[in-house]
Amino acid sequence: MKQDFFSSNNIKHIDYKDLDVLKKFLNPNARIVGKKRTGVTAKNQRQLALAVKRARYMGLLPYIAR
Amino acid sequence: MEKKEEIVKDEAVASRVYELGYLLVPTITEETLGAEVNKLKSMIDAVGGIHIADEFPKNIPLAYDMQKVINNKNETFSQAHFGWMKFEVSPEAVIKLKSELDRVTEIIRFLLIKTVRENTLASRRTFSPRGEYAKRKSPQTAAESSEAPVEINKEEVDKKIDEMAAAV
Repeated sequence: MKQDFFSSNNIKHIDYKDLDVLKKFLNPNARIVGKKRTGVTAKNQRQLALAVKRARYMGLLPYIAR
Repeated sequence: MEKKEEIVKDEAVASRVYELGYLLVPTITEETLGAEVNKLKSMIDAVGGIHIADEFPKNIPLAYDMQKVINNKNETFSQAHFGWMKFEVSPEAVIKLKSELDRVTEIIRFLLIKTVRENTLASRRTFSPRGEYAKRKSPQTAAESSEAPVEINKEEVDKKIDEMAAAV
């Protein structure tokens, strides 16, 4: 079983400015990778999705990429 | 039930920690950037906000072009100064602050979110590279790097043993 990235790195709050972390969970089209593939807990996956959406709104991450 | 309602009311009164992330128009020069940040800080102070942490705006390329109406004209921006500040303020005051920020023409966009007092940035720690940004070593280079020093060591050890034996 895959370990939860955020639990193993002791990250309690997922920040939308943490682009290095967020980019790990985007596929080449800049879509959010599902929790089946990321192995992230449901709670952290919800936090992650919110952080990515905030970063997209602020122009830090793209909505779509080719 | 009555008790629960009381608790909710108490929470509503207490101040909360918020974070304001903002994108300033790129037409602002480096010299006047400080004055703009001070303007935002004074707006927070005016509603009774207590400063916790901040980061000075940095010029960044935007992931996509953004539009904003300035002087009845659609302006398109492909880069902006991105900065943020964390502060503590009451929930009522933050609504007032939001309506004031809406009127600031220098801000392309802003994000006002509820957060925690502790530092939430984790990128300064070291992570093992993963995913599409991970750099893989090709099997050949990995084999060379691991085997090559061992061979050199063996030769050196042999030479040293020979030297020591000759000395005795």
